[in-house]
Order: sequence, then structure tokens, then C-alpha cells
Amino acid sequence: MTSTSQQFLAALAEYPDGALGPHELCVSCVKVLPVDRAALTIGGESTTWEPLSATDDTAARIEAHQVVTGEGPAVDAAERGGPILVDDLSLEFDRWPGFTTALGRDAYGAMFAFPLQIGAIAIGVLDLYRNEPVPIEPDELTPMLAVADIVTMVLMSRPPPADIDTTTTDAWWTPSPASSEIHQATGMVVAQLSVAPRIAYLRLRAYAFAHDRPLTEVASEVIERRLRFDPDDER
Amino acid sequence: MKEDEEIVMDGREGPLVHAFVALADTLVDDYDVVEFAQELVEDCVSLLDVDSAGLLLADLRGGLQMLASTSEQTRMLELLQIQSDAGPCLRAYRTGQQVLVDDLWSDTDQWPEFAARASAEGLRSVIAIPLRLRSERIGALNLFRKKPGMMTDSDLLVAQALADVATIGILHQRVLTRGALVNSQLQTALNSRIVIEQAKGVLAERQGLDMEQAFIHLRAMARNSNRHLSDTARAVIENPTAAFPIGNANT
Repeated sequence: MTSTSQQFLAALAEYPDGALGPHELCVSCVKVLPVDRAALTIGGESTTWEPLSATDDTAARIEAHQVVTGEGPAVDAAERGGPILVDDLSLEFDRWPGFTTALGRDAYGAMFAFPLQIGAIAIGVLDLYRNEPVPIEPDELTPMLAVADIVTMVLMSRPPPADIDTTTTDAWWTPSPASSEIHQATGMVVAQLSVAPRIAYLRLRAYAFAHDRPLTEVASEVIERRLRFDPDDER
Repeated sequence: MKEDEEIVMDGREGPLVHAFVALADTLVDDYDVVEFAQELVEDCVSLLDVDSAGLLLADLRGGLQMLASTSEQTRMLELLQIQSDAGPCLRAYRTGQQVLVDDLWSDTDQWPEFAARASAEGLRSVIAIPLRLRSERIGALNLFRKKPGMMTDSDLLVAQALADVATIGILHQRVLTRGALVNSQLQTALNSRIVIEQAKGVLAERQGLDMEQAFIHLRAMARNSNRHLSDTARAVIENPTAAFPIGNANT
């Protein structure tokens, strides 16, 4: 785990049990990353897009303009399935005419939009802002991606299942390692339960957590057909 | 290529042209990066004296992730995957230099786990070529052979050219000048691959297939409905209870 991930998890752990929500996620982003503001927009899969939270009024306004105009870095990031990095919003009229016009004098500074996703699991977008148009350096991207991964986990899996105590462990929020088998197992559970990939993924993680086993091991069992998830089971 | 270096053609003009035409297609707007990478690794096997090939990208969390492989066999994928921690591809990626191993069976010290798994697969020599664009390194191309020894110099030139083709195709380089933008392209490509892995799982469960068959099925569906692989994969995930016949133009 990167040190930024550890700092971010430590920042989240400072909130009392049950008080960790989208606003706290935004505030924690600004605490550990080299940005001035942060905002979250929720949406994707079959949910409509809407602003979820922001650190301040300026960021909230910018998020609202994206949703209303249907244009902007977050919109493109979600559509493309990858980050959109903007050095200087004031130069992007051609790219997003409706959005930049609506922003008016807020069209200033840098903006970095990170889709909160795992393949077809799409939770929303994390937008990070800089007051000045300072471009992102290549080595700044990794910590931002690591934080986006944790934000994805937290938003996807709140609240945690009743039998998982998140006050004593932040392992529940820790993103799983990337492996083909975990993604394949997710697909299999999608078909077994006829649920969205987000639900399938959470079921796998909850099972692994409840049985104190690595998710990669649980995924292997699913793929080898030694473990199934049936709609009627209580797991 | 220097003036005195020549690629020996001996009948592979067709596939070489095919690889470069595929690249030209990527300069047009609408292409699928995973499909492109898949065709490229298959070109490697038909153009070079190798038995399997894989392509890995930097995931920006410290490791490498598989973007495409000529074999979907789990053990082959694991052989690519463990190089995220240690192996010829990781070294090639980090150093920007080609890594050539003549005989894994006698050179087991460097990467014991990788060498053991490769040997278990009957693979004996390995080549890892970094994917580079100017000063950026984005991953590595991995080539495997069942016999010991090394590819000819001519083959190595072709392999390097294919690695360069892969890099350009993945990055769509005409619009990229900065490192951070390069890295965001990698994220997009790798996320596309995850969608495909999830879709493989849906098909495997629904059709009673193993993962390799599921991938073949997915590609056939995409071809027959004239859609991109990624779009077909998303449709499969969104509709997991469908029947998924290969020829259905609606899926």
C-alpha cells in the first residue's frame, strides 16, 4: 500500500463510527493530496448522475454545472472509463462549450476527474481541483489513483454488512488486489445471482471477509466451481 | 534501424503488413484498445519463432497488469500476472532494456517463482521488450518459446518493431505529449480489460464454459454483431440472463 493510501485511511479513521460519509471523503482527499478542493458525483450503471458532495461552494457549483450541461471532465471520464486531466479550465471552451460558459469566472484553475470504477462497476467520479492552473506531474497521479480506489470501495460498500466491524479494521475499505480471477469470479456471481456487478463483487468480498480468506482464493474457488452463490442461500 | 540491418522476410510480408495496417486503423477515432492488443500478440506468434505472447501495462500502483495474451489458460495468465512483482517484464519495464533469457531451466536464480511456473508450462526461453515512447515506459511485451536459445537478430528487430507498434496503438500518440496524459490512457486501457474479464465470467457461468472458451465466444459474438469487444462485453454484463448465442445481432 502506498503511503498516501495509508494517510488517507488514517484520515478516514479519524471520523467516529457512522460519521464517515461523502463529505468526509472529499475533505480527506484535500488533506492528503496536492489539491485545493474535491467533489464527488454519483452515477453510472443505471443510476442517474447527481452531485453527491463537495468540500466547498465553488466545487459544488462546478459539479452542478457538469450535471446540468451534461459536459465536463467528469462526464468524459465516466464515458471513457479513464481519468481526464485538465491543466487549465479557462482554455477548454472548444472541448466543453456549455460547461465552460456556465462556469463563467469559475472556469479557472486545474481539474482532474477520476472515474470510480472496476471494469463495468461504475460508482461515480471523484473530481479534484487546484485553484491555480498547475498541471499534474506524472508522479502525482499514482497517489490520486490510490485514493480514488479507496473512495470507490467506501462508496460501493457503505454500509458494510452488519457482521463486519469497521471500527476495528480498515481492511474492509482497502481495495482488493487486481487479478483477472477476481473479475471473472465477479462475472460468474453476476450470472449466478442475476445482480449488478457491484453487488456481485461485494458478495464475494463479504464472503472472503466473513471467512477470513483472501479474495483471490475465494475467486479461484468460484472459477473452479467449488463455490457457488445461489439466490436462496444465506451467506 | 541502421542501414546494415535487414529484416529477413521469408514469407511473412503478409502478417507484417497486417500488423501495420492495424496500427493505421488506430489513428482513426473509433478503435478498441484491447482488440488491438489482442491482434498484436497474435501477430507476434505468427510472425516470430515464439510459442506464446502477452502484453502487460503499468497499472501505476507499482505493478504490471495483463492487457492481452495469446492463451487464456489460467496458468498462462498467472505466468504473466506474477511478473507484476518480479520477472523479465518488470525488469524490462523498469530499465527500458530488452531482457533475453536463453534457458530458464538453467537460469533459475533471477526469478525463481517465474522460472518455476514457466518451466511447468514447458516454456524454456523468454524475451521481454519494454514498451517505450520517447522517455515514457508503459509496460512490456512478453514472448515465450518452448525451446532454449534465442531468437535471431532479424526476429528481434521485428519484435521491437511490433512492441513500438503496440506502444503507439495503445497511446494514440499523436495527441499525447505529457507523462500524466500517457498514464491516464493506460488506466482507460486496463479498465477495458477488466470489463472483458467480468464478461468472461458471466459467459462461463451462463454457457458452462471455461475462461478460454468464454473469451473465444465473446470475440465471436463481437465479430458477428460487428461491434467492439468492449461494447459486447458490457452488453453481456448488463444482460446476464440472456442466452448469448454467438450469432445474435442483438447482443
